[in-house]
Amino acid sequence: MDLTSEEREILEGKHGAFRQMCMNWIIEWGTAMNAKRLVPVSNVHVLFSDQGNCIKGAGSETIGFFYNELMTALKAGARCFTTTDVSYISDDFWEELHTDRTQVENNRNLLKAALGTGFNMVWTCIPYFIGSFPLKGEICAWAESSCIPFCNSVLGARTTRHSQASSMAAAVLGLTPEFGELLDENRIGEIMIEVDVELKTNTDWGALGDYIGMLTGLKRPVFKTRSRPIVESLSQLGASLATTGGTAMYHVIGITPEAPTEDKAFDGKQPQGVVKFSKKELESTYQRLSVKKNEIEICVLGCPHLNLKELEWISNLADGRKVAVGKQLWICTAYQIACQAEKLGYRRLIEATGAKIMVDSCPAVACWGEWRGKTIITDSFKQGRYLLAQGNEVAVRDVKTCIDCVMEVYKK
Amino acid sequence: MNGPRIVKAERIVGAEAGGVALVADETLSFWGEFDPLTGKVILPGHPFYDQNLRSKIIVMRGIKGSSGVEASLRLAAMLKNAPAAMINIDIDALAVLACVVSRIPLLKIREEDLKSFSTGDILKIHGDKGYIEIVHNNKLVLCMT
Repeated sequence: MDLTSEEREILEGKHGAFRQMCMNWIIEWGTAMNAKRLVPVSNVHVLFSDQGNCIKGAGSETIGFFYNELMTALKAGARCFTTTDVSYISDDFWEELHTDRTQVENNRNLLKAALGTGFNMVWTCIPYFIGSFPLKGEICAWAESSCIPFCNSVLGARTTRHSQASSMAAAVLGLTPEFGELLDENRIGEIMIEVDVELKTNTDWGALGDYIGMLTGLKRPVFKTRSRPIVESLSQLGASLATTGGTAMYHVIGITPEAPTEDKAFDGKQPQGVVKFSKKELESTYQRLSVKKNEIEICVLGCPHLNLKELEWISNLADGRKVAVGKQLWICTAYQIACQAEKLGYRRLIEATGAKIMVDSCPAVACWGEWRGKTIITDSFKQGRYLLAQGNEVAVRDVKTCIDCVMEVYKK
Repeated sequence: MNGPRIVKAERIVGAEAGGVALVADETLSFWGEFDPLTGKVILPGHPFYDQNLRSKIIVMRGIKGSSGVEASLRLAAMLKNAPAAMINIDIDALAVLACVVSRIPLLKIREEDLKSFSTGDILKIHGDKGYIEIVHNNKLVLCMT
């Protein structure tokens, strides 16, 4: 890889051991991915929490190691606008969820230490709904598997799939290796998906992603559909595609910025394959994630985090109702959005039902291991898939059905 | 029994490794579907469910899903619960990063070569030389006994 003199100095350790480690990571990664050079990034979304849920039950030495590394990253500082992904810790519910007290303290210390470092500890998986809005063509380094396809596909900005080490390196160095979706030739559609069923809810778009992700994996699908998505539908689509597959980018013909036409989506080339998604596939996708309605104990909404529009809608659906005895309703959103919802009165309406609003985190991470064996309903195929792996019985349905399943009979 | 067999492979990360193979025509997310504290796959219904990946050579289609994969594998590697090597058909950028950071050799094989491997095989990886040696073929032994 061609390095500038400054990059070489960092690699030699002249800018400190932490920057050197970061540089080593991205150079070895970039070389393996056939990157020719490092390029400046202007927007980073970083996984910035210790190994979190995975670490539950690990020794204090292990917890301390990752905490120290994050503190070192903060001391080094971010060289460009940087937001952080969901934390593994919910400061409001940590006792109820039996989170290790040391980890909670560590998290609070990280928040305090972040001031002035350039790391914006927003702890949400929807940076794009709280003001991080890179423009078309902007070079980003986004972690969080659901954010990555949103960044590439919906915003038209450019990021490869990032994880903790590479996004942290991008923040601290302001650099990322140039390969994959950063290059024009790796943004062209590969598989044509002909959707001939009407997608009526955001969760239907999630179902489409869940089914197609299993077939297309890391490839870039191009969706041809007469259904018109709203932005939240695309949030669901990308999240589920990246969960069962791992794609960094997709196109929806006529909707997403790099696919104004079918021809443009494929850059005039033939698709590598054509897949049909009809009523049968939609129904079987829901069928795979189904439970008996009377067994549902917990409803989880907000994966990816809910935005203001969705909270407004949920407050309307929930107004005047109560969560049934023995059942739980969890609503997950960004801190900023919860604050706005409080001012507007939505939060009061939602919490009056007995629902809990979780910010900074989400059940797939904060409740790790806590809900083993519980039967859960959610509107998100991504959340559903990860709850399945945690030993839950899971159903995925649209928001209204989810809420109805845990609410008492309507009394308004 | 046939002698050692050779499968061509492209070195992506690392070079040498050896161990017992776990093989499936599947993908896995190393965050959320794998527990780094034990090394076990926790996703019910996955071919590797409840199997320990510690020191094994994982032969599968590739890595999918969460961007937590690198953090999770790095933790597993620190706790000595990580696989000895990974052999994939589809190379995800995150798999590469995870293997770089966790010091796990990663090789790419051709799709048609996946069937050359079976669970229980003893493999020797020669990344720099571009091949994998099947030192002990489990399928052949099973046929003989």
